[in-house]
Amino acid sequence: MASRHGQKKVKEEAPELVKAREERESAILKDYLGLKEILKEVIDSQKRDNDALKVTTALLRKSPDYYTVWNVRRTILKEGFLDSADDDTANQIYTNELDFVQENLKLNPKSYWMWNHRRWCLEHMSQPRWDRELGMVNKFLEIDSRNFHGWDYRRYIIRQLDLVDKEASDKVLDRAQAEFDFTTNKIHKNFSNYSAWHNRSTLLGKLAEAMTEEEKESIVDNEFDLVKNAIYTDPEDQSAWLYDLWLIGREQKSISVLGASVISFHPLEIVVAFDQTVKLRNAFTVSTRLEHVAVPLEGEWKATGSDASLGSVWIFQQAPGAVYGPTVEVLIFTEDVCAVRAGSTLQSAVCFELETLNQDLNEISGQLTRLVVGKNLMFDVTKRIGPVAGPDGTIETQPSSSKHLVTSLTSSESLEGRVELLQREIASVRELIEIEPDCKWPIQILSTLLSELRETVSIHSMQAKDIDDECIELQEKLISIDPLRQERYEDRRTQLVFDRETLSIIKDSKRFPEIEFAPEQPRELDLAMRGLTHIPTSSYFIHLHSLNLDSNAIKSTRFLRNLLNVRRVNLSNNLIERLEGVQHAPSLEFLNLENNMIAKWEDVVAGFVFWREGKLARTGCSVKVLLGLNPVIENEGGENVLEQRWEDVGEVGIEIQWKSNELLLAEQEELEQQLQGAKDDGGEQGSFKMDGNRRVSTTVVEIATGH
Amino acid sequence: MADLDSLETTVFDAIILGTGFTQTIVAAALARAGKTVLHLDENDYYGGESGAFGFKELLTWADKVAAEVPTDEASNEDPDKIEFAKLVAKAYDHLEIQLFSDPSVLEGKEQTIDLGSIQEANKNGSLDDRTKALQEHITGSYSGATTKESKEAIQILAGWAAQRNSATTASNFRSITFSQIASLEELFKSSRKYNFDLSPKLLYSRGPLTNLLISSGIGKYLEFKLLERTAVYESLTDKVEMMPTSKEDVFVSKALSLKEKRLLMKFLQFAVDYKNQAEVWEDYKNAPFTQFVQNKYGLTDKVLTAVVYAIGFDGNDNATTTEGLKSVKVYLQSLGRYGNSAYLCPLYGVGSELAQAFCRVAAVYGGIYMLQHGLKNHNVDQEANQWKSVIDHTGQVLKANQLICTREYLSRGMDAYLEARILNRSYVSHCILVTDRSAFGETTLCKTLFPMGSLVLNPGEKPERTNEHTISVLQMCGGTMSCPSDRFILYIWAESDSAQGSAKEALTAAIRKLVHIPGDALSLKAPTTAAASSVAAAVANEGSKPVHSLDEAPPATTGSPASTSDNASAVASGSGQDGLQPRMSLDQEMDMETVRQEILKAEKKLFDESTESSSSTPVPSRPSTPAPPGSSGSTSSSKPLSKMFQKSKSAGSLTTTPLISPVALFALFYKRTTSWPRVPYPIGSEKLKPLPENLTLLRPMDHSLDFEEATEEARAIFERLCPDAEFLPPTPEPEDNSSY
Repeated sequence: MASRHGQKKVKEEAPELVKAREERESAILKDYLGLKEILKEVIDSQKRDNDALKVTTALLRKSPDYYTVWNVRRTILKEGFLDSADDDTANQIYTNELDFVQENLKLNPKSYWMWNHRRWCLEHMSQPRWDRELGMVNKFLEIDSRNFHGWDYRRYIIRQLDLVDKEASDKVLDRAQAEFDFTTNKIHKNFSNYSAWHNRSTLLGKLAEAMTEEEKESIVDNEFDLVKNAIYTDPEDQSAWLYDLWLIGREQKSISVLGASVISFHPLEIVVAFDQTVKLRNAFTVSTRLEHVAVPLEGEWKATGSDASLGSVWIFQQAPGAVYGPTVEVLIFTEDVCAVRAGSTLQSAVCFELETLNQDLNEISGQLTRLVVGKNLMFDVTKRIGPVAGPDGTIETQPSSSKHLVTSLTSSESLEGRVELLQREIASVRELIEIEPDCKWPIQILSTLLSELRETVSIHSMQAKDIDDECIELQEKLISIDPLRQERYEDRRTQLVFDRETLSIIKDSKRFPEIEFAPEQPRELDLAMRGLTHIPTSSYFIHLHSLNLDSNAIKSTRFLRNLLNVRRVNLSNNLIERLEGVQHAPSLEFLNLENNMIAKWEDVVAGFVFWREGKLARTGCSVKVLLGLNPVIENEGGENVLEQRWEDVGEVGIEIQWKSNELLLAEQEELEQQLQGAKDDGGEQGSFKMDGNRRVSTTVVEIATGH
Repeated sequence: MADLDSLETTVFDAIILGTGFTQTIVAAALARAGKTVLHLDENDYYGGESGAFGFKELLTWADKVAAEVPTDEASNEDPDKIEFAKLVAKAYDHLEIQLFSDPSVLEGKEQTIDLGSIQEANKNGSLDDRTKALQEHITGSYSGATTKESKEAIQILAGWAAQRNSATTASNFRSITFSQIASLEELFKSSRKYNFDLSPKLLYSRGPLTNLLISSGIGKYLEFKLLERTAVYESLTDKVEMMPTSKEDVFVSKALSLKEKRLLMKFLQFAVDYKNQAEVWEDYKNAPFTQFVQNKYGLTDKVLTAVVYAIGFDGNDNATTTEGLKSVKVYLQSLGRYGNSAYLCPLYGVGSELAQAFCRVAAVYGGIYMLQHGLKNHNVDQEANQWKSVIDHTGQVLKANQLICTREYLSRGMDAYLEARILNRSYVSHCILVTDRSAFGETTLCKTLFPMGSLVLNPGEKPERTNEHTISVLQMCGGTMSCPSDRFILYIWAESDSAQGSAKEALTAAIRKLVHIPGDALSLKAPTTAAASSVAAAVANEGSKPVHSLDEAPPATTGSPASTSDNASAVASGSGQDGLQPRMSLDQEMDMETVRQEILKAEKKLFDESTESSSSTPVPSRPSTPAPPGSSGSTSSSKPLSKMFQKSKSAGSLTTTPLISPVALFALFYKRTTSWPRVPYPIGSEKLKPLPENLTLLRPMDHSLDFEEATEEARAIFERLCPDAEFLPPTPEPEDNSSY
């Protein structure tokens, strides 16, 4: 309460006071500008004497955040004084500098450059007095216990002191302990202190290294107790919740390889799908057996989409002229991929085997799912789970991290510890929510805890389903009590709904908690009116033929890039502004974009430019796109504009309909009536119909949409 | 000083009689508004009923108040006569001095001197003769009568023993012990280090009085310390528990469950803003506050109730929801202004310091002050019902347009008139107790409440009687400059509805819970030397507080390794007794801008210290902490960390370390009347007709914890007398700072 954080300063001034103040300020400004001029001269003249130093002193007194001046000052000190000084003199100079900084820090304790200058002095002194520095920073933290500059500086000093004592590990540990006590002290005085909590978490990590598992457990209990007390005292304070969250820890998500398929045999094209966006560190190894000798198969791995270096679906394309034998192997080693989401890793190597001899689909054994992509064939490949031989022939051992996380500091052989902890925490936070139903923090934490609990059970279990349902409800509650962060909660909600709705696509992998494609893939998925803002994991959809996303809140169609097998996509009544990602949807036949936010033809056309360059040319399919009720119709008109634009795309079998289906239906009815009523007007009707479609080649009203 | 001869020729705007707290504010405000003020006091000290005394002065005061026995008034006496001393004496009753024997002081050389035979032998002699005989007897028996103070002590004791019918009750002095003499001698020696308050009170850091002190600039004459804690007596556990009365306290409290913490904080958050949430409490407006707190906020748990009580109690046991919320709000607003406490305690005695500060302003603006100024008569124009003048002991006629005074300055007639209109009597029982150590361990400046009905006043007797009103206890330490650094003062007081029953009867039960009273088996046990030293060792080693509190925070260790060892030795050497909070002035509000200068000084000091300490050992390591007694031999005893956690755990739980009971050394009991006619006027506007219209009568100081009502009264009076003037506007910075 003593601190000024979060307090609004309101000052009302009488006009005459304002005037007086302005006069004062203009005098100060004039003074300051004058000094700046002199400084310029100093810099230009390369003066390195006392006068030059005085200019910087005067300037820095007025404006300590003017970091150039600090640099100039250091240059003057170094070249003008220190280079020629003996040890004692140099020390004296540094001491003077320290005094100067200290004096100014009092007026401006949050200036980066002053703390910085202080470090410079100490690091150049022959015998820096780190203990004295600790005393100083103590005082600063006493004045304002939340000054993160002070905390940062404190950690810096401790590091320096630890360096001095690097031979004496007990001293270092003692110091860490003293620092830990210091945070306790500060937190007791005012627990709304991010810096103190943060420092505490880093210190605990350090201290835990020297502890037995039992000691760690007792400390964790203590920490939970402390942070719970803070939370119950003031549940609106974020700093304690963040510490709580840190304590609970998050199970590191592993990267799952969902499956692999062949989408073309000539040339050979293999698809590997991941459950998240990954980066390739090394290209996955593809080898083939030629005359009983395994040889690498030349080729290139590319992610779908415009950025080929990043994605959840990767396609291997055989190099022109490369030859492959009856079996092909794809090997993915743990170090080959890294996740975009920090911390996720591939837990073990994965191998896919492909028998290319039985290219005749009818003879392929039943375990392989057949997917028809245009004229090509798509096979699922048998997935083999490690151990597998590494590139050097050695057998890769299973990763040693068989330990499960319990909290950020503790772990256990079994999952039970984690489950127990999570359930305890869930019960506790539920109790708080009962008292404070409208506080956003406990609800958010509950949602996180439940999600963590879900990680410990099968995704198809009842418990997982209940958790998903509750979490979705929690997001809705959060949206209602914290509308400022609505979009964030909606995104989270989208993830949850998505996970719930795509259970038929995914099964638990043998290496729990990983997942992989279910053996029977659905061909159609209806996600209409689910409130989705995006498609969290589009790699789930590589097998889909038909996807209905009508009436959601989807903003981007980039997910289309992974819908390798899709024919019909209904995106009517969403918030899409431009068409993206269609280039890897080679089988696309029908795309409903009615009633979206597309405002420019370019934004549609651009999408298809890529499309043409993709698979389409090869398959020769035609696609129909419904664009009715988009602003583009109003903004840029219909047919004429499209005619011009379309030349860029070329004749690739794209059919655009820019009247809405509803309108067309009505018109058609009217037309039929008119045809029956007055036969004279027939010519007019024909052109009317032409307005709505560029090329009327098939029936106009074709599609099952969400209407 | 003004020309005394001209006093008679001047018609003042106001004559103010008595330098009690309320009068001095009015005086300052009037003088500041340009009115001519003559301020007189019959006493030779400032403060009137809120005066503060050294030890000797306290005895003198007690003698004076006790000696003046009110006699039946002869009806033919002049109704305009002022009988100040008599009325003062009438206001006080049940005076009793207790001087306790503490044999341990003399280490086995304790002896008792029987006085009964001397008293009997001289029972027909005059008081002086009796005193003399007793004094000789004592001097003859007591070998240590060598110092001036011991001789004085014997004289005083002889005087007390010689009195037969005195309010200071001779019964206490049938015999005296060597240790009593030694103890009194000690008190005499440090007499001037004491500032005993007759009406101890506190200031809310953001209450009307503090705000006034700041806005008027008067606060700059004063220095303060923060009250550290508030404790509440819990009858079920028979314990005095420190209450978590701030957010930080609640956070570290182990007495409250998580859920209780939340409920409590929720209520407090509401109370800060209660005015804007009338819908929550309107239905309870006139219902008892406790009922509202329990029904509406579910604070039914004993501890929670006690916390809300500790925060919201300001003297009124029957507070309505409206009153309760108001005082909780003032409390909460006050928290954090100068630190983690809502109360300020002025140094050098509470009431008289404040009174003098206001008087000083009045004097700066031309007010004329005369202390020890005897007054004889009031002149009243009966027809016009106007007070005209007051005649002083020299016969001077002092004239003014307005007279402002307390009851003791009324004339006989006026007082009789007032007396007749008092329907409900009210009193305050007081005790001033000197002890040898803090009753709250390291917490030295704190208040304690014994809720009404929580204490059995007559243990063992039937029917049981409990305290009718809250008993408040305020412990002062040397740091408040009201006692020597090795002594503590406990002020104990309680409202009382009847003149019956002595202050001692009303308050002893509470005292028993806090201190060892020699010769009183029901009080805390006497400290044994072994216990004392073991606890002292524990204090030195653990740095924790041996307090019987549920709520002590884990020992606050300073983060700097360099200062930790210093701290431990500081605690061991007992320097903690000086109060943990630094002194402060009102401009030291907790913000960056103003604290900086203070820190600057402290910092310099710190650097000097760290320079010294580091010259020998650059980085002193933490002293090793022995495992607390409760922890069974941990296998990892080599790891300091596990110990650290055990330590903080055990410190938070109910500590069983015995408290070294403080021993009562000296007590003064008295009961003061605060009776007042209940008139339906707002405070300060009342005119008790047919008392003269231009006479403003001030209420007596009541039993409340703070000065807020008195401050409001002064403001109301000022606004009535000077409707157009500003109440104590800021005083311009004095040119000369050395004008003391």
